[in-house]
Amino acid sequence: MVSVHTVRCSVVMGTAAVSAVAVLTACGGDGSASERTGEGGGRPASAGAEDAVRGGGDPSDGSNPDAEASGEPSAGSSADPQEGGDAYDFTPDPKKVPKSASQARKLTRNASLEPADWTPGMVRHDPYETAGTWPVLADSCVWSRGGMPGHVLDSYTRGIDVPAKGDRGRVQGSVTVTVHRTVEDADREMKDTVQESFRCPGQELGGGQRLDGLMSMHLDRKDVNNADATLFEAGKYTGPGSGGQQEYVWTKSRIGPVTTAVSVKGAEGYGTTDLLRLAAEAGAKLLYRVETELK
Amino acid sequence: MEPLHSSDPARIAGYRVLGRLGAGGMGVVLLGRSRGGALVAIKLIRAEYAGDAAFRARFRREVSIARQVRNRWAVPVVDADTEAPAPWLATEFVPGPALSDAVGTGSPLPERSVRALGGMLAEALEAVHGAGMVHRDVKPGNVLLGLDGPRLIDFGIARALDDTVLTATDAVIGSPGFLSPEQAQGRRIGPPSDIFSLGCVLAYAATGRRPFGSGPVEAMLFRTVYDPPDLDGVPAALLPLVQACLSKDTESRPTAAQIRTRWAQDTAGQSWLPAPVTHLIASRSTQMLRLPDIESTQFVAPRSEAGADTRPAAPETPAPGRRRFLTYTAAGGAVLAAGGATTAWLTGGKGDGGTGSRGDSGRTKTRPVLGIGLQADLSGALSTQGRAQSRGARLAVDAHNAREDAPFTLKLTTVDDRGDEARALAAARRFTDDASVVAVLGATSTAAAGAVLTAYDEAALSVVSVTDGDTRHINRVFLCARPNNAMQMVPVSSYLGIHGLDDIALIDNETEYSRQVTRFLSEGLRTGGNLNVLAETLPSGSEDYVAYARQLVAKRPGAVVHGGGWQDVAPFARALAQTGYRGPKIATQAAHDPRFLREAGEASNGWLIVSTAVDPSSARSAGAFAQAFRDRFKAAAPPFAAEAYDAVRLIAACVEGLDRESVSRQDLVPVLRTTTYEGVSKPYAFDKENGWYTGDRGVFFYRAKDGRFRFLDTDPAEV
Repeated sequence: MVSVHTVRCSVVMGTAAVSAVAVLTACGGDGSASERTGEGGGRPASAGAEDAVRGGGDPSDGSNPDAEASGEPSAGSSADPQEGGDAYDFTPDPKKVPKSASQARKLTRNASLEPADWTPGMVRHDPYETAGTWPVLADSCVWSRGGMPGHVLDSYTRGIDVPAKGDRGRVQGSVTVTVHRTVEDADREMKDTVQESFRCPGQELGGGQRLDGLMSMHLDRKDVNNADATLFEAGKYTGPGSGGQQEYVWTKSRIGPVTTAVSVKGAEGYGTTDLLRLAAEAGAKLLYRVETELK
Repeated sequence: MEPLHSSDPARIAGYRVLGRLGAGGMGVVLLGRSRGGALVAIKLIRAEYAGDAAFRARFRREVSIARQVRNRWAVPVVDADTEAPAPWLATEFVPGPALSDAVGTGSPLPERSVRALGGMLAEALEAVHGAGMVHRDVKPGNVLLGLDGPRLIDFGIARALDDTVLTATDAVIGSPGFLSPEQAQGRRIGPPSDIFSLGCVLAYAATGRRPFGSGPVEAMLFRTVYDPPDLDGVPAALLPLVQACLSKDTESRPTAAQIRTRWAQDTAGQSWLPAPVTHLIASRSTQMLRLPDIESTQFVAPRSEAGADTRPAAPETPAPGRRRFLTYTAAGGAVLAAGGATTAWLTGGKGDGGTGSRGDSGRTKTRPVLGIGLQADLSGALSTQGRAQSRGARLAVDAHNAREDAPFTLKLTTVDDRGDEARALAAARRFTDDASVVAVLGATSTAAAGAVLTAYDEAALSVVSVTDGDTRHINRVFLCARPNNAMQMVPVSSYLGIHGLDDIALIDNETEYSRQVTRFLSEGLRTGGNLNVLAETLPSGSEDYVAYARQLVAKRPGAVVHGGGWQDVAPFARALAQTGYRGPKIATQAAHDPRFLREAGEASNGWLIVSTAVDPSSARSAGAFAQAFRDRFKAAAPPFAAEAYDAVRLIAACVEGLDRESVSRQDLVPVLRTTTYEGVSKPYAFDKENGWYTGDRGVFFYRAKDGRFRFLDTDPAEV
């Protein structure tokens, strides 16, 4: 028993270090994104945007937006004050907030990105568009798509890739824009997303694709200056032709009742930082477009 | 300058290694002396990079180009071996402070100095660009200040990898605020990239601020690429050229030669720098010339980001200095011994008298005074903890000052931040502005601690916290003197393993604290222990705890672990009590609060709580402390009093271990993390990279019983 304990303990400690690195990377490094789902089937996320970009950054230090009440033990209160210096203070024009599915469809299409909007040289994924469905992560940790729930007015996803070149593989990205009926619904989507990797740190995307070692975190509100809230997730991706395990990042943000998501599945020759740059770029552009739509 | 590490070589080719100037992603920068007596800064590349053929080829090429750079404001390469197993490069050593040290701890430079700086750095860059290279890393840490002018260091060497790889460390601590947009985007770069960085450096020199702000790396990179720079405070006469340098369009930026021509000025007959900086350089240079006895000054030896320094002349070093240097490097070991004095004094039973009263009496007046700040919540939501820390700290100061042989007198200054972010910033400013304060203990709350991280970092003022365990709080100066929120779960994991438990229900209440706790534990159990985890979400403030508890128990968990604070654990405990569940119930430090006992009532019985606060009246190591506390304050020592006591003693022991006549806050930054200290609550040691607590006895088990927390110490096998 003692020896078992010792072994277990040291393994756990080892993991601790690894997790710490993961958290650090997430925090410091960037933000990112994602959409899950496999080639075709992914999570509806959505997207859009062009290149207008306000400077927002994304990333970094994560903190939980909802942590209003954290109970830090010793320390206390926690929470991330909304009034942090750089906090985002945009309020959508109520007249511009979609009330119907058709209004929402218009917004999701306008806000989404074309391949060249994201970064020159990117191309359409096949399939390119996914619309009108909603991804569900079952208890088995396998994703599937079903009809849109009642609180979602529209959700629209585009698959956009960086083509393979030289000894670098094809990076698969996606951008998703989703319009909820209420801010609370959108907020719930954000929170649920962070809980998904807690429930299922390994997930099947379908088509032989899978994600492992997923970790998610909300960013500290005072570090988010282009959205009401942003979360970040990172892990490892494997799939047909991926050449082994690659990096994976996913970032999701919310402005009012609208959420944006960007996922990037890595490929040979790409590191986390590369993916983070890609995700951050699309994320910022999407948010700028969403804000323009709601202004 | 830091002591040598055991892994650092004693000799590199013909150079004797005297100390460590800094460390970065690619390797370390060492201070060496040639056989002829010249001091050099040696950049030693890590073997793992050296093994990369492409890297070595690039290093070779860049060294050969760097050797061609000849300019009075660029530090010359004097020697290199690109073919060694661990390749290295030596440049002249310049003892002046880096621009980041001068501006970061003092004030911005006046217009005249910025103009002179710009003209001379442009001249250096002109030489670099003329040799066919791009510096790639023009930043305040790479500009050393000399009496006659600046010196640009570290040019281009071994930066080829760095500019596309942002390490985790850089992400948190580094200074990407000086990269060009093309670097930020990973695009191809040329000389205009250096010009953009020069613009950032000049704006920084003129205002003390980075033109693209601070904060998360990605945010800064974004602002660099898309936002206009923040040039508020740049003198109007300098603005046009600085703005031109910071143009997003590479073609619109001036060349180095154009900047040199426009800003060249006659500084003959007067110093190019303001008097305080000049004084600083002089005093620092004088001290460095006495090397290896490197003394403290207001501005200290280059930190790791400063890279190599150089100085043109070869100083002579007296032999005795060498011995003192060796004493200095042994500082880490000396600290441990110093801790023993604590117990001696405590058992002596002295202990009344107010803070500082001893410091005011007679003999101690002749000793130098070392200021320690305490930023605590004394009147807000966590005032119980804050006041406990205040009392523990006062006891430590009195204990130190009562020592006949103490080399300095401690002076404690306390500021109440009420756990409030705005007040926390004001408190931090109080300490950062007071040069006599060499380290700060605080803050009490996570929110306050987070709010002041940057302020203390910018002032190079170390902060030791015994209560905040947020895993996101990492920077150059922050020491988390307790197992953090995640690491407190390691003994829980052991406990579950020892008892052969599986199907562990892990409850997350969706707060950030709970996230830090639950994600770490679930990863450890799943990956490290191969156990099944029931990942449960019970949002804070939920309505129906009873229904939730019933559903949970129906899954037949082997143990239940709640990751939230007492506010959520208490109602959950009451609900769980109604289900008939009999298995282990575990909560974290956030539930180590009398309010949990009160709110949960009988339902609190049997809950196992882990906490980083020792119970001084129960732990043997803290017995003398507990007695001294009771004698002094007529009350039992509350949680976190012993930890605050330890933190103050640790800081004092670290300073004492340095064995120097004067010590500045900058001196402490690199060495505090290397300090080990045997405290009354637990042994202390830190991760040098991130400042995390690495001791192995920092988490204590408590069992709730009859309205009390019974102390069960640290061994999960004994619980």
